[in-house]
Amino acid sequence: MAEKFITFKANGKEVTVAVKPGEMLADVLREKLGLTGTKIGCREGECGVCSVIMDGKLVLSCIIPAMKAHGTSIITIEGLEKNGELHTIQMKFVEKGAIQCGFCTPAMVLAGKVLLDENPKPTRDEIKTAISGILCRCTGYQKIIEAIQSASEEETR
Amino acid sequence: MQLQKKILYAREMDWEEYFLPESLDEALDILDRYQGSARIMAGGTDIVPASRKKEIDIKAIVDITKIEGLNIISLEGDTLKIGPLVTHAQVANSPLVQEKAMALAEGASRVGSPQVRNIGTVAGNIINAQPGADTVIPLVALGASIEVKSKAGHRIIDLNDLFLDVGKTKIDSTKEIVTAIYVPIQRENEASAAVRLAKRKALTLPILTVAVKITVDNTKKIFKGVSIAAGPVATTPFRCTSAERLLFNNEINDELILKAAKEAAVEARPRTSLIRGSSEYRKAMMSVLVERAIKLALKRLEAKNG
Amino acid sequence: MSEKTKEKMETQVTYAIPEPESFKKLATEAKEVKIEYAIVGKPLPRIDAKDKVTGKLKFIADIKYPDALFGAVLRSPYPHAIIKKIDTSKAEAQPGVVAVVTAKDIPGRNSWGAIIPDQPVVCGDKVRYVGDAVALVAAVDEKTAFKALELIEVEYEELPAVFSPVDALKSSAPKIHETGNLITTSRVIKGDVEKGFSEADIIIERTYTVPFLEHAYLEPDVAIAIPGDDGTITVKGPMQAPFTVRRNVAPVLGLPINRVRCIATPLGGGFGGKEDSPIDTCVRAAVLAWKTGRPVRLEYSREEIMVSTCKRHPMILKVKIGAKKDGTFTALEGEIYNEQGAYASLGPVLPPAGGVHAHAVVMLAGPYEIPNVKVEGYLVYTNHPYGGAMRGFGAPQANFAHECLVDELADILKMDPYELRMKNAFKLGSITATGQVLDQSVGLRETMEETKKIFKWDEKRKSIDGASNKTKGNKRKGYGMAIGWYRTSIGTSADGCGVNLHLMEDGSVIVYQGLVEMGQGMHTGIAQIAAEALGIKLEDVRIVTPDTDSAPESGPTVGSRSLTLMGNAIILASQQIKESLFLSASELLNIPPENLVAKERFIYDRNNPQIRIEVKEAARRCMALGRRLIGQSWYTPPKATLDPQTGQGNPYFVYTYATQMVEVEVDMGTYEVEVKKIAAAFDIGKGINPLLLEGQIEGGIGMGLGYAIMEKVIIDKGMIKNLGLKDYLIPTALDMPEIKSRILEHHNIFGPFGAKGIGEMPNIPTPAAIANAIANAIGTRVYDLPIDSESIWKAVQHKEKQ
Repeated sequence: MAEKFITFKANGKEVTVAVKPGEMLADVLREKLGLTGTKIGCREGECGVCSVIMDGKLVLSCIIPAMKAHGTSIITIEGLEKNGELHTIQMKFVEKGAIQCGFCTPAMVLAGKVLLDENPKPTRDEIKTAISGILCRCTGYQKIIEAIQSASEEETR
Repeated sequence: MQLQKKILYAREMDWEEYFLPESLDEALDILDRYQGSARIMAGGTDIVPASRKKEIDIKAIVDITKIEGLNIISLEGDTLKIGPLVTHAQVANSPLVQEKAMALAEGASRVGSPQVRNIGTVAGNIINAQPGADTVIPLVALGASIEVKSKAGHRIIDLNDLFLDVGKTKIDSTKEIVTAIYVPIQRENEASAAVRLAKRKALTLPILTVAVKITVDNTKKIFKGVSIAAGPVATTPFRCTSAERLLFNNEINDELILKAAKEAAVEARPRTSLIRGSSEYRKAMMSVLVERAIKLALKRLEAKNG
Repeated sequence: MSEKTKEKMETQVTYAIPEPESFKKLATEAKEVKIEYAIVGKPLPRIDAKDKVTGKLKFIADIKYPDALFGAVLRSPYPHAIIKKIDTSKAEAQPGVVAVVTAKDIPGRNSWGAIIPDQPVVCGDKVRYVGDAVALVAAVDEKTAFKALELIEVEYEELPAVFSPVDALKSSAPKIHETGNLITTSRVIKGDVEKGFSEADIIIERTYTVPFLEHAYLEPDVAIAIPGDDGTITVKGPMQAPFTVRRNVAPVLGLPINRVRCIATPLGGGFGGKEDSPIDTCVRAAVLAWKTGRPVRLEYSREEIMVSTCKRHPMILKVKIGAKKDGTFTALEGEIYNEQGAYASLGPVLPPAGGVHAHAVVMLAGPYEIPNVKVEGYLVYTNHPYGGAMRGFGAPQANFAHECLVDELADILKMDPYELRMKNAFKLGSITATGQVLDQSVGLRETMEETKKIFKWDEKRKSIDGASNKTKGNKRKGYGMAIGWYRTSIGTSADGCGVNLHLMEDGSVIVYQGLVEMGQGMHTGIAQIAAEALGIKLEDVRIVTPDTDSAPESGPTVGSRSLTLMGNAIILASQQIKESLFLSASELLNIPPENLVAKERFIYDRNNPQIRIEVKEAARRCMALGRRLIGQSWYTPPKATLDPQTGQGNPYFVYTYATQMVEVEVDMGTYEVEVKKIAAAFDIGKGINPLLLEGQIEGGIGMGLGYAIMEKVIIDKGMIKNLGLKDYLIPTALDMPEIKSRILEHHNIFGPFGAKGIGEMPNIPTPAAIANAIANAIGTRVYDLPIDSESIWKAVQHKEKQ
């Protein structure tokens, strides 16, 4: 199987990677770019912990062929911190106790970011819907929702 | 029997090639070259999990998502034209679709999860041909048709004639590409609705999905046309024609609606499934959902016309 | 106060601040203890929060092992069969295949198990459930390993299989293990139930069933085994019980225990599943590593996890209760058919009161004063996946039975379910079904009162009195409740844990211990305790990765024992360090050591706080004078007792109590249930970190909700049908209600700062509370979990027919 080079923006930086036709984006991010913040939980798009932001939309990287990423702009959890400073949503997750085992946390934070970028003052129901595609077995979701709500109440992010 | 075929799956799909053509003609050329072992991919939300489980064997993926102009929703006269790359999210959030084909917007809003809706396409949902697919059932009720292009030309197929079996349509995905989905819009005296029953509130396939499109006369007292689609209650999306006949040209009242709903439950033939539930329960729910869908559509009609 | 209690108190753990005297008084009063500490009791962010929220924290799968071979397991497709022949030659001949292991290749003992080693590393003579391991493969990559599996030829002779504990007990049933299908019988006998029932005005008897559940932790199981150059082997991966893994890997490889090193990497969820599943992955990876002399990585796919790893025990619970007209309970009789599945795992009795089975039997009578109790429980093998530890360890199953039964009794007596429970619920001084006197830390009734207040129970129940009030639109509301109790720690005679605490001369501390962080916040909790006990700050404490080479035996991270036991051990160890620190400080300050107190990096005169020095100054002096700055301690809780014949004794040394109240809305057309609100209160002794506590409460309630209405491993003829998270349904954010919880602190004299366990209590009363709320809505009952829309429809149909 021939490898092809693809180029895309990973957290704002342009990268060129050789990928196989059957390789999934999650594996390319994790194994080839060292971005292990994106997790893999089921490999069939049913748990959501592999979620990343692709061209502004939340997507499941474990079922997206890496080739699809060519020419796109991808944001993973590693792209949220700026110069050692946590993004507001990350700070709120820490503050509100929204993190337990941490396996779904990167996906949840990214879901929060995508939501607030589009809808700066979401209702509680809108937050629940935004994270409805990511399973969490530890938290019961309450504090994750609170953290995103609290982040939406901050003036600047 | 080798158990590992059900539990061990390779990380990498065994596709030999992955193409990103820049035009539909280029895509068709590739399909032609591969003579049946290439497949068109849009979002991939069905093809990838199926490839992983070795339920389908594909040598080359022809990813059409880089082709310009295929993700448009437009109004052409009395018809909504939905491009092959239009996603569930686009349809769910489109004011045009909400106004002109509400059942479709509703159905699309319930597919899987936000992430799946962002990438999965309506066209892909149709091709995947699951008898209870969330956009397929409304499309059948709305009388939609699908247009495909091949090297031999174009053809348009009515969705009521499209489905052959679970996962199988009259479209040959190794030769034909979806170019558009045409949905007749709701007119003055028309409304639609889609309702769903599932085991939890997200990330789940429905136990039952029902969609209706109703047409009433100018007095708004008589059913002039009703289209009721439901699934999964058969191997293909199901039209409850017997129930529809009961309503046609008859006075709109609760008794009649209930009678039709019960008739729909009689004509549907869901099997007992270990995962989805017994056939008795699913038949009983047919009646509940059909009644609710019809009433919801009627309520919308009232609201629309004041 | 009883002599026994006084005696217990002599041996109690003392504290850094407040004197034992004041606590002796507090323990005899049924009141909460509210004491302010500097760090303990504060809702601080967890110590690993920043690393987790930035994606920096590495789980095992995030670490590269480029030299590691790829391991894979060949599994039986039959639930019960003899292995007639196995031919691995074709697989071995495949290029890239480095080793193929069958039973004959196991270097030591070909079996493992958390309690009884009855599970083969690789089956030699027969297989006992679909998924049982038949061969292991190590190859250069995934593709080659999978190819090798295909090339191994196995000839099976199918045997008749048995799929229910009732069938498995029949004399005609096929024998699954040589020892027979009945593993053990446990019982509780108190008073005389015959007499008790004869005194009852009303008796009801019901049978409840609960299914296999999957833990569904989001992080899949992975084991990396690395043979050392020095005759040792290291195994790494997420594991709740590194010491249990070690004592299984050693005999399997034929090594002394001290040559095996187990490292517990941060867990992406455990919930009891990773008490057992890592033994599975680690022994198999270790065998492959030992055979090949190379590192081996064994990772289970989600589907493989579902097929092969342990589950929650399914049970058939028959319960009968007798009560007087006024609601006083006179007798309870119960029978439990506890389905163990193919292998023993955490089911059997670990004397005197350890193991799922003993625990369920003890818990069945509920947190009620009942003078006559008789419970008999049978733990039985079947050809199904096997039961292991899962949050609650037998208590959720028992709780579902007694809380639904008591609730139904309330309906029949036309009593408020709250009042009926209040009439019989434990209070300070109550005697349990095992004859244990609850002489301290009993806040059950207070949790009931508190929950009632938050939930507005009376108002809500009255609002729907009379069926017509209930239905609005298509929906009916229902309100239900349940109470529960749960032990802290595991009730085995071997229960204990050790810790090594090293204070550095700059005032920073390293904690060497073997309990693991799986999200529950345990490392943060013990760091807070260490900081408080030593008088330093939270950021000065470093908890080292649990590693059996450096941590003293700590037992497993299970049974809600970790914070309590390890917290006590840390306080004891801190006292050793403080002896040196205070001696040095007293020399520097010229104040006698007994007047000194340490807090937030300073040691000061308690009567004159301005007279003080920094902890690190005292530490430096200790270093200079060769005074020990190492604390070491071994803590064992008060002795567990439980007579195997009568089930009488003190099986667990303290209990946590909880009440939950639930509001549901049932769609009367589709019978879908929406859980709208949950209120809960917990008596947890002392909230070491209220923020993390709330997280445990909300998450546990989420698991309980799943158990109540949607979770079930669907098995047909021994084969699991709903493999993967697509068809095994756990709650999503849209399924969760609003949760309001309160923490009550009824001081536990055997706990650090009064704490007792929390990890498991939250998911225990939830299924019954939801079931009772649904019953309140629909006017009839469902006796089997999960209570999904179809089962409600069936129950309503059944009721309407009558």
